[in-house]
Amino acid sequence: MTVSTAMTAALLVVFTAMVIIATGFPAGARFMPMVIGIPAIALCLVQLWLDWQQRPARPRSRKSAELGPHTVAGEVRAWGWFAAFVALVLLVGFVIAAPALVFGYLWREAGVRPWRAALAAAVFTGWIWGMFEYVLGFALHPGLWGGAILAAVGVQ
Amino acid sequence: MTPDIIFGALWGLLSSPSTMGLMLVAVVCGLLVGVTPGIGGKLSIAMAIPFIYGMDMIAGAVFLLTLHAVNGTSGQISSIMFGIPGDGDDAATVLDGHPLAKQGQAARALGASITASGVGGILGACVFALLIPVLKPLVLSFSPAEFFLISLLGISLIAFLAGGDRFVQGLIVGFWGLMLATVGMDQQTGTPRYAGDFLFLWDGVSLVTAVLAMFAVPEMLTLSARGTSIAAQAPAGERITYRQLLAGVIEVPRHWFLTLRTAIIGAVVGIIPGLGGSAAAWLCYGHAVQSSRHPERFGKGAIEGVIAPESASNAKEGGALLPTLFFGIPGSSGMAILLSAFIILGIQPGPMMAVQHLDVVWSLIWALVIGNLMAVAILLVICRWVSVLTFVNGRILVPFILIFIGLGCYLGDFNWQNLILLVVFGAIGYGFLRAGWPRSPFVIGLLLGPTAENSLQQALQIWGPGFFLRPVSLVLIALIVMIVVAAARRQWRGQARSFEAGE
Repeated sequence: MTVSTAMTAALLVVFTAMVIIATGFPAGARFMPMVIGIPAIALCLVQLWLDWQQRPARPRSRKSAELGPHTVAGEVRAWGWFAAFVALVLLVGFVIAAPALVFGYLWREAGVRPWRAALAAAVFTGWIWGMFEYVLGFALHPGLWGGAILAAVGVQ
Repeated sequence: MTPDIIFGALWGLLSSPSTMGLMLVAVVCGLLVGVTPGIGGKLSIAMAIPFIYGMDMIAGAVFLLTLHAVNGTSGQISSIMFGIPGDGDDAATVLDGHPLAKQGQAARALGASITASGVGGILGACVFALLIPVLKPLVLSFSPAEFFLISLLGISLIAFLAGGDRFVQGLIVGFWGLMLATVGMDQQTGTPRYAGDFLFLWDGVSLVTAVLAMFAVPEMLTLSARGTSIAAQAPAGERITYRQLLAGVIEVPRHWFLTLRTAIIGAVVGIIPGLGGSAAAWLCYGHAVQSSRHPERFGKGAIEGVIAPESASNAKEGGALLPTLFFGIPGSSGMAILLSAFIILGIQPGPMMAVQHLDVVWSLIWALVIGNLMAVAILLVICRWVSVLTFVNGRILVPFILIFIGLGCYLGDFNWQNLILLVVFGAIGYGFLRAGWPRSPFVIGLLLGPTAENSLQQALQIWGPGFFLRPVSLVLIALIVMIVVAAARRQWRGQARSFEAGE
């Protein structure tokens, strides 16, 4: 199964679920989800039929020209950093997650020396904090425990 | 449309030191980002989004548009010096720009390309300005009956033009955007659709989060998975002298008619959603070859081969603003992110822009003109130093961009849940990128979804199901049918060719 066929199948499931859920809405509210959802399901089925018809003609994994050369391990690592950053923001907030990401990524992925990565992380976090918290007046997300951690180390 | 509005907008920009200062910052940042490999216009706007919350509408819009518009002006440095295009828009410039560099005329090629790009950007803005009085009555003739069809037409057109042989996938992506637009409180019945007990979804899916997830996150993850610098592949560049740069600058007025023609073609290509900058550049490169008395010089270092694609690819920004602002149909993924940022600033794209917000439209046109002038002047002075940035490893920038994306989606409405949506929709956007599906139809669906729903409900109340028989509606339906038939024909021919080839 190609990535494209898997995407079509996944979206078919999503559209079908959304149409089924929409049947429980009042008449006025379910109108648009039905107008969109039913043709979308039909399009997914057409695409699956086209994929099935063309399966001998297509290479097994047709990759996007936009993506370019890459490795699966590289993709998994990229996703790992992204998911870890979001999880860290939710748990300890931007002020702790941002330097952790900058330091960790620059050191482990970009091959920057640890002291340079640490310096970049410190300068960037200081700039972000100053810019958003003090200049622009926006409160950055503190996370579940970020406020307590910063208070414990005497930063806030 | 009066001179008061046109020149009032210009005076508003020039007399505001803060707006001019913001434009200067945008020009410098846009040029630096443009020359850095792997960071295109999309990611530069994604990085700028956190800073525009709370900004004045015009100042913010001018800042973002300038940042986006000048990206392409510096993007060709690596094409000319190293023969490696920074992005698709610059690929045509390689054909003659790099041979010129090999002949020891890199600075001449750079001077010509920077000037042609700037002049093209200004001419593109002029084409947009000239089309406003022509398009205004057309845009205003649309009734609620037509807006639902316009969103379907926009999705079909982009799926057809940008999707290649992936028309059905383009339509599915567009319908995915339309479907997501139904999430949240239904205005007719007060029913929270697909939101359940999640209060943050009652106002609908955050547009900025969805757009960043669909475009910026996949680009950033790709950069992380791939990210090599041009330095790893390119030989050392030659020294750039101001004398040679000036010689290149003079080439543009010498070929003024070619510059004008290619800028107009570029702007017209920009108006057609989905064709993109590389189409404009290649089309105009072909035009330069065909219209030359010595076509045999092309590919070996003809300066016209540098001027034509650069003029066209920057002129398309002016043209692309037209469907973006007046119909809410972004012509490219860069324009899609720009459009979502405009909405944060309170600019609601649609026909009312032609009536109530012409001052904003003219400010944006002038911003294109002034921004391009600034970009040319600055880049001609600093390009000998800026070219060093082509050696930066794009991967170094990944964590910083990621943090700006996170900030951009959180600061919109201070909902931490948007970060979770960013991951979920980012996975879908990455899947689309991995599968080679066009992603621009998604934004049209998401942006025009609420308008399409309200328009459809209104049209049914006013005219009943017969609203499809209104003359303008019939024209739009005929266009949609033509696109579908053309796509089906292309698909069938492709299949027939594969069958004949015995695959």
